[in-house]
Amino acid sequence: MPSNSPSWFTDEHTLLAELKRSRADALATLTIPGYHILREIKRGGQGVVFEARQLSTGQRVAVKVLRDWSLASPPPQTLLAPHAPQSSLAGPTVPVNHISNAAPHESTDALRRFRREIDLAAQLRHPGIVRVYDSGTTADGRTYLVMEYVEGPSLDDWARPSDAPPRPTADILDMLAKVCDAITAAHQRGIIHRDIKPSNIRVDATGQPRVLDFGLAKLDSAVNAEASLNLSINGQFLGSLPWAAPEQARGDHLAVDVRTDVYAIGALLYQLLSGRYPCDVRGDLSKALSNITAVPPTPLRKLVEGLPEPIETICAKALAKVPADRYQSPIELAADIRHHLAGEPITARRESAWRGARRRLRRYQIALTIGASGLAALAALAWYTQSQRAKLAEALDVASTRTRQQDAFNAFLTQMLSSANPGEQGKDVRVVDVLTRASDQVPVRFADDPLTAAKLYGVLAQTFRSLGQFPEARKQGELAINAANKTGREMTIADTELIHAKFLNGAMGKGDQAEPYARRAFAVRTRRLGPTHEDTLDAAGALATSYQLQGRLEEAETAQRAVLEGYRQTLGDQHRATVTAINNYASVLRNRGKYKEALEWFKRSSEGAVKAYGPEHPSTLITTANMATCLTHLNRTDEAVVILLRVANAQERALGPEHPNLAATLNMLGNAMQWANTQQPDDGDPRPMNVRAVDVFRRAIAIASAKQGPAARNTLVFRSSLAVCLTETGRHQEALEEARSAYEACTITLGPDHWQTIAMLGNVAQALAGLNQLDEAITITTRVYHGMVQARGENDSEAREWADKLAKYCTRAGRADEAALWKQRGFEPTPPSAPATQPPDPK
Amino acid sequence: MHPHPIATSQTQTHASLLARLNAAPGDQAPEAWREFLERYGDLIRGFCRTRSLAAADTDDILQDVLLNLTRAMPGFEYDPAKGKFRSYLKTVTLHAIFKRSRQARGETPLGDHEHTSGAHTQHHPAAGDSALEDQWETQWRRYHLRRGMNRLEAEFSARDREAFERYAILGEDAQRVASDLQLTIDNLYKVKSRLTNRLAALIAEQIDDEG
Repeated sequence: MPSNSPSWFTDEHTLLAELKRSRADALATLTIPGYHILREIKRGGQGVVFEARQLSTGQRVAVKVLRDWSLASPPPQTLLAPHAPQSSLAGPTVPVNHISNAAPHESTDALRRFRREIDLAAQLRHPGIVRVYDSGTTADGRTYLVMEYVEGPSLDDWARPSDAPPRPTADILDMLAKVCDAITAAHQRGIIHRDIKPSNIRVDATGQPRVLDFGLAKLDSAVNAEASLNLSINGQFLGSLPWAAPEQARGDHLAVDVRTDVYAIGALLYQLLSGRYPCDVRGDLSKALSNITAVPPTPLRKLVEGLPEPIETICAKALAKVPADRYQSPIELAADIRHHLAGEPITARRESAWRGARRRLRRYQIALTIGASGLAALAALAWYTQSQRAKLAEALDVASTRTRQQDAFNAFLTQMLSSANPGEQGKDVRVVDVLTRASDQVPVRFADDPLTAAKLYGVLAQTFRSLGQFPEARKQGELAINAANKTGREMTIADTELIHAKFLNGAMGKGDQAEPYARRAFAVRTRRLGPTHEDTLDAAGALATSYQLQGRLEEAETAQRAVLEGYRQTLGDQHRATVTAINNYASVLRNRGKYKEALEWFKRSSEGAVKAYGPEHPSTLITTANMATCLTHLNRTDEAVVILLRVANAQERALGPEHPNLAATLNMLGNAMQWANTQQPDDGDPRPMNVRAVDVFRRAIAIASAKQGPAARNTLVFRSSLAVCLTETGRHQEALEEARSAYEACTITLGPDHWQTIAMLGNVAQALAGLNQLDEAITITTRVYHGMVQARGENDSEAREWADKLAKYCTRAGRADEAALWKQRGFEPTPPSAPATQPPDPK
Repeated sequence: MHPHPIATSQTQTHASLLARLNAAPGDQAPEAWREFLERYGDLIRGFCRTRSLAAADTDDILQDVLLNLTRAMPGFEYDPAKGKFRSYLKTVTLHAIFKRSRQARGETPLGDHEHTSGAHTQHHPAAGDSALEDQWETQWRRYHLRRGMNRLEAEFSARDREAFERYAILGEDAQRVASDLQLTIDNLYKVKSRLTNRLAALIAEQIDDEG
């Protein structure tokens, strides 16, 4: 095989022979336990797809072996530690951390996140989504997925068959609305597709679209998370260019959200109707990218004669360059498509369409609600008609027992409440006593009626929760689930599990424990009620919150957004559930450090809550306090302090002096006060605001510790706040003691690897630094940094802040070389995706 | 059929990637290295696989290659006339593999510095090992085939690619492929020749770019 001969590819015969050989080799070396590989089906930028047979069942499956993304294992430690001897590893001109930036460590992290995304995708169950059965790693370290085998043409070949005229417009529209449904189901699970294109959608024998490869595009963006425009050699991305949204073309991975998928569906619509891509992506790559980001598409009706105007408008809105101008979710896009198909007016407005004005659309018009709710009802009906007889029987059964159950239920509660003896003790205690006794009576009175028992325990759980009696509430929630399981009714089980999930999320902050409950409830309700039913959305919201509490913020943002748009669509902007969903979405934005955006959304939820609940309602107060925390982060601390004081006073009036909500507000207030102090020119000690903040934190801790338990998440978070504040106030010894004991509590409750535990360890280091024990502080902070990267990724703002702190400590300790290296990992130099200035987290 | 075929030829050229690597340690360096790995990581890994190296060893080798290039880069002026980048990369990769196997056998590296400073020297431990040359050559061709095939994906419709795949590569019966995909036999032949020609042109371009 002469290596200098170029002829192997110029001669057709040799070229094809070479291709055939490479295929045969690939097949021969591939073994996947449990499957017999039959043939190669397709080869693309992401990997190779084979047809295979599952040995145990004989079932035909598709096996996708992902491209070698390389660097799957961690590098030698020496490359990771910035104080490693440089000379032996890299030449004088390339600092070590440049290598490790580009190399294995980060990719390992990316791969870990990617595998989680694959696991999530594998849990997707929707008629429009190709099932993933299994995944794993081949002997030589490549990731594979075993998927349902779907026969049928890709979407573009379906729409424009070569031997027949193109499909009628109505068929195409209907198909794309179904694609929207499938994508929505994934969004509700926190998964953005990111790579919707015709070859990722097959049309099966029943005419149903089947969307492939959820979560796979995540690998690209994860691997490229740091690179701003690393598109040049990325074949996968090039193959997706015609459908890539402007934010993807800019390489702005942080801006990718559910609306990125909306754009891609818009591009599909454009392509299927006109036979052209919306943007010219031929030729020079930078030109193609700028076309995507800046050049509006040719109006569809100039390309397709006789196309109705509303379709052009729908398409234009989906393809808006600015995400805020697009449909905010595929649900909304599907709704407009279906409005048009039903001969109803669409919500998108023509004027803003092709002119591509930056002017914001008023996204939801009141006129829409009737049409939309009718549609939701129809959708729900369709789901019901699909359901089997057994379900109908169950429904009838429920209906016939309802009367009996309601009577028993009411009688029991009445009896319990009237038996309460109005004694000398405080009002809370009396209620608690009654409730506890009631709970004890349930198994005695309702041994044969698990349905009523489940309902009663559920009510008791919620009551205990609203009284701030969390341990008791938890116990009742578990009893409710046990009782529900005895009924064998999946909807009842789903109801009690969801209540419990919300409790674990909201009161305990235990997202990991809540997730399985929320997931099951969501699955059952999706199947029984349909994806846009408000009860389904309720479960989806709990699932999203569980992601958020686990620090899985990207997934949480996607899912919260999908939930929010679902509520807006089904219930309208003013509904209480929508207001809550806005608050939750804003909260995840805040967690991600997107404070400006979060502030805008919190303003909306706060205004909405005032209208929906009244100005002093607990929910209004919570969302208003949340808004204030954004002000703190945006350095508008004076405003924040004023608002939080008002909220705290109102909460104390309405809920009493020992309510957990009040504790949370006090923590926020303490943070705002302390942060306000750091903004003042330092004119020497003492710092009066900090002294007050210490008291505020101590009060918050006392409440949380009494009501939620000394090891509850909130208690620990508040203690962390206190430790930081003590450090800031110069009370380093106290800070050290506080931080140490909080850290120990965290290792026990959350585990040593949880990011909050790691953050707590960081507080220990800060206190040590305050006491000038710099070497120990540096050692510990290095652990904190790596732990943070492990838990949340290298780009995470917390990780960067710790790097900055390390740089500072190293400078103080006279370790200038290391300081310089850490500086590069911190906020300086600022990467394109990070905010330009980031206040230290006042936590 | 897509009316806007996407020409992928205008992507970042190999030479400019090298120039950016050379410009280290600017801000761009990590990104340039990442690109380099994306582009050639596949090739090096594929080669390691044919040498039956474990995945972990392969990672180490990749890292070694990277470090070697890093050390060579500041003084390395890329000149197509002096030699092919391919053989340069091969030299560095083989060095890394030999170093790894020496380490595995517990041998002391022999004058490690001698082959780190002048990676573009034509002398390397494997010179003359023709089996190794063949393996490298095979992997290098595969690498260009993969890249070319990926780029075809953006330029041709799914049906055309399937036709090419089944008829031209997998050797399925022309009649059956044509009828499955609703093509005339004549069209099937045309598709085959269009894709083959385009693939050849893309590979030619890639190799030309590589120098």
